[in-house]
Order: sequence, then C-alpha cells, then structure tokens
Amino acid sequence: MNQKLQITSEQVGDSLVLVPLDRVDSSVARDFEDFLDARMQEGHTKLIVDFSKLGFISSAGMRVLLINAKKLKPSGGRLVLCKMRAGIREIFSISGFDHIIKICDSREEALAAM
Amino acid sequence: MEVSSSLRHLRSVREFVVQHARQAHFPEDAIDECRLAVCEACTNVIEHAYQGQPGRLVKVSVAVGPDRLSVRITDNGKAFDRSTYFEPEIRRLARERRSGGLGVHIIRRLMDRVEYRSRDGKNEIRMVKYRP
Repeated sequence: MNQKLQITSEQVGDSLVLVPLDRVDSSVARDFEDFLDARMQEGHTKLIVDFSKLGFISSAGMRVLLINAKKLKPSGGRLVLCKMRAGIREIFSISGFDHIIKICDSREEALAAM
Repeated sequence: MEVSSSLRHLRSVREFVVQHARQAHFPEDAIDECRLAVCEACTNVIEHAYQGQPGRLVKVSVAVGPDRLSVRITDNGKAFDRSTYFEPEIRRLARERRSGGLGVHIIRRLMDRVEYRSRDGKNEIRMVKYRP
C-alpha cells in the first residue's frame, strides 16, 4: 500500500498541469503542500490541478488547494481545478470551496481561464 | 475494525466502510459521502482527540439496515468540545494554518444524522446516512 503522494506534472504553454493520483488525504496533505510550494519556488504561477486520476480528496487536501490559491493571487498567479468527477465536485460545492477556487469541466477550459 | 491512531490507516478504514456500503447496494454518490465523512471523523480522532499520539486505539463499526448505513467511531482521547466549534468561514481557512473545523462541517453536511458522546474517558461519534 503506497502511503506517499503520487503526482505528475506537465508544462502546457505557461501553465503547469498537476495530476495527483489515487488520493490526497491528511496522510499526504503535507507532501502535497510541499510539492506545490516547490513548484511556486521554481517560479510557476499558473497552476492547474487535473482531478481526472484522483479517487479521493479529504478536507486536508482541499485546504492545501485553498491556501495555495490564495498565495498565488498577489503575484497575479492562479490555481484552477478541472476534470472532477461528480462526487468530488459536489463536496467542493457543499463546503463552499467552489466560490473561492475556479473549477472547470475540462483541461482546455482551465487553460483558457488562465 | 480496530486500528491504531495513525493517518496511514485511513485508507483501510475508508475501504472497510465502502465495502459494507457496496454490499448493501448503496448508490455510489452516497458511498462517496460516507467515505469522506468517515475519513474526516477518523482524522479528527487522530489529530485532535489523540493529538497526533501514535499507538492509541480507534474503533470503527458499521451497521447496515434496510434504510440506513450507520457508522460508529470510538476513541479514548481528548473529548471534542462542542462549545468551541463554530461553522468555518472558508475564506479564513485560507489565511490560517489550523484545521478550522472544516472536517466537522463536512461531516455534518454529508451525513443525515451526527451525534457525539463523551463519557468516562470514551468518546463516540455516530453517523447515519439514509438510503436515498
């Protein structure tokens, strides 16, 4: 059983698309935060998180996204989420996160939103 | 099932609950909600009741009836003080490093009934999801 954060990244234009795999729960939330911090330290300010390979995210993972979306704002950067399955989208909606972080249906829509 | 108070056991707890819900033919969106609620509740036990201390006991039991799925989680840690709980303001969570009660908020929104009890050093959360 893999207890480590699994995530891939891909540069598309001037955006960095991150694809977390499997799950982001409290056991890997700190690693997820460190990973995002490292990308920002490298100078990436346009981040897209593609949820298509994510089976589960808990409030710990959601909070990391929220914190980093806020961090990017002053520098004109942005964090956009895309390709959520309906169950996860619903959870972002009931927790009110969708009012603060942009959520797109497709990666193309997310790239266009940057 | 019984697990020790480590976040690395969250996956097996989630799978335990999902397995029972699937056997009872609960719809997948309701299973998604139960899975997240149970994960949030167990995370709270590990991080708050046991304050990150490893090796403590977390008990999770699931009962499936014709109209509902019930989950009970018990621990022997610090009791959840409801008087200090306020529904989180999401924008504030982005500024603050603390958890901010988001897990409890999510549990309450996802499950149909949620009850906490603390007595004689034992804490219990009971959550019920009715079959849609």
